[in-house]
Amino acid sequence: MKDTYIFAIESSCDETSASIIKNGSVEIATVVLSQMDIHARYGGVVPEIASRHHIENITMVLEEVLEKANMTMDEIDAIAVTYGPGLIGSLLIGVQAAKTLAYIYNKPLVPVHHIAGHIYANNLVKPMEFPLIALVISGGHTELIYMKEDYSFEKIGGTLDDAVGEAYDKVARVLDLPYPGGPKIDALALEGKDTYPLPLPLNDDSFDFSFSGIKSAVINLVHNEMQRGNTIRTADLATSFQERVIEILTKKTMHALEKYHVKHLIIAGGVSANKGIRNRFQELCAEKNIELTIPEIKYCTDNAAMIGAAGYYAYKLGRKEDLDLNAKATDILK
Amino acid sequence: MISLFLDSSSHQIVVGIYRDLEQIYLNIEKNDNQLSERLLPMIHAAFDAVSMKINQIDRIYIVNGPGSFTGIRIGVTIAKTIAWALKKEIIPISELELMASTHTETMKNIALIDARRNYVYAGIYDDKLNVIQKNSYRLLDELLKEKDATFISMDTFDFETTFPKYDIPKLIAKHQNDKPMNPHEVKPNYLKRTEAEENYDSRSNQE
Repeated sequence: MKDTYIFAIESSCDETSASIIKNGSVEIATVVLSQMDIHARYGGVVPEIASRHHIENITMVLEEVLEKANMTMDEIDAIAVTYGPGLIGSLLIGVQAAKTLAYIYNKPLVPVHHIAGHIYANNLVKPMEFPLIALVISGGHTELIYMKEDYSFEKIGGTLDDAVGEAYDKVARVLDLPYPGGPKIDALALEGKDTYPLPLPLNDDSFDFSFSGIKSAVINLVHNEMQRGNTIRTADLATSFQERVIEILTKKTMHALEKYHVKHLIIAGGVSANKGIRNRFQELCAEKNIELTIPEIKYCTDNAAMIGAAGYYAYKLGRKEDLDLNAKATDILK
Repeated sequence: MISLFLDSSSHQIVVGIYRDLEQIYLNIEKNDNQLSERLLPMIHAAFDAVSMKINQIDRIYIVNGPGSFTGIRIGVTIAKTIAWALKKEIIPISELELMASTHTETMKNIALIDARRNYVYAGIYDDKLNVIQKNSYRLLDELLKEKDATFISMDTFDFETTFPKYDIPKLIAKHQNDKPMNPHEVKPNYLKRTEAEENYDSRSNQE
């Protein structure tokens, strides 16, 4: 059978990325240009600054990936692009570039939902087996998705307020840890002890999450301790916070696996780089005989390789768009 | 020489195709909030209308601002992607100069874009499009002292302005010998830094 090559573009937040993926599972070449250092001084991603960097970088990233792959656009079967959700100004750069390439080379244009990309990052590790449950955890998302078969997504739960990565960033700020705070809390959590009483957020039978309450609890605790003149044991607070997060994530995810009679779990999104979360899921899945897949760290953060992997399946299903495709800041995965 | 002329940075979207200085296609439409959806189909329609293919062009003139940040980026992304992919020449043009190409009775023409809070993006040109005062982001009040000038703007001010009527061949004549840029280096001409950058710098200066 003839191989299918997808040229993919991702620009939904602060990474400008392009990738060429063969048959939805083989990475030929990927380029990721991160702006993380640029946004660090502002304590988070500034949308207008992100857009300004995307447009300066976009054609260089496109050129570099073709060079790295030693391919030309003539060998490409379709152009896939993240159309949403994400920062609208950032998304627009990738979407316009993808549409332009589709137009001038007369290639099919395949829109890919950012979360579908995160899930399909796992397909670059090993072929996904269905049915499965995907836990998507990132700075913008916390979702439990049931997949009966390829490219079928049923959202069974999600965050009602802050995404888990957002809660990490906000707690890190209260603890005076530099941006991005998630990896720093994770590192501190390994050193500390779970000594601070924090609530288990949205501890119910649903598959939904809520992280604004625990974030506020941390802020109040720090505030009260400081008023009493007590010093904060940063490592202990990091441990207590991370323990609650891990407990609720694992509880609801394991419950979902049980309810849907699913033996395969995949974890995706930037927060899946968190060692504490990875380790606990590995232990629990081994215990319950669940097959767990977590992509390599480089595929956890935003990248176009995952968009190319998802784009392949979307393309096979005939999900094509015309040149009037628009970017969407929010959109349901379907 | 076949040129594609593109502008999506203002209240009007411009898609033009020129053979040297001769217009072979021109479409000017009101810019609404559907720009992201509309611009590429408009370019596609332009080439279809004159039975040409995009790869037949030699050069792109892209208006790269000042104006709507998002609008500028949509046009510039498309233009630099075409120029890079098809190895075409690319020359950026100021929105203010495009506005100043309007025929007037004065030797001095001031193109203005409202930037709110009494600030404007302004450029002053003579009737041959030579720059009298380069494009800047500035307070409106100082500009109003200019004598014997026509103010050209699409925005509404409490003084008399002329609505721009673009003379694109005049603009191309002025820029046809410009050195084309490397597409990777083409960027928007915002004339203004982001608020986050300004706040960060003013905080750093206080410390």
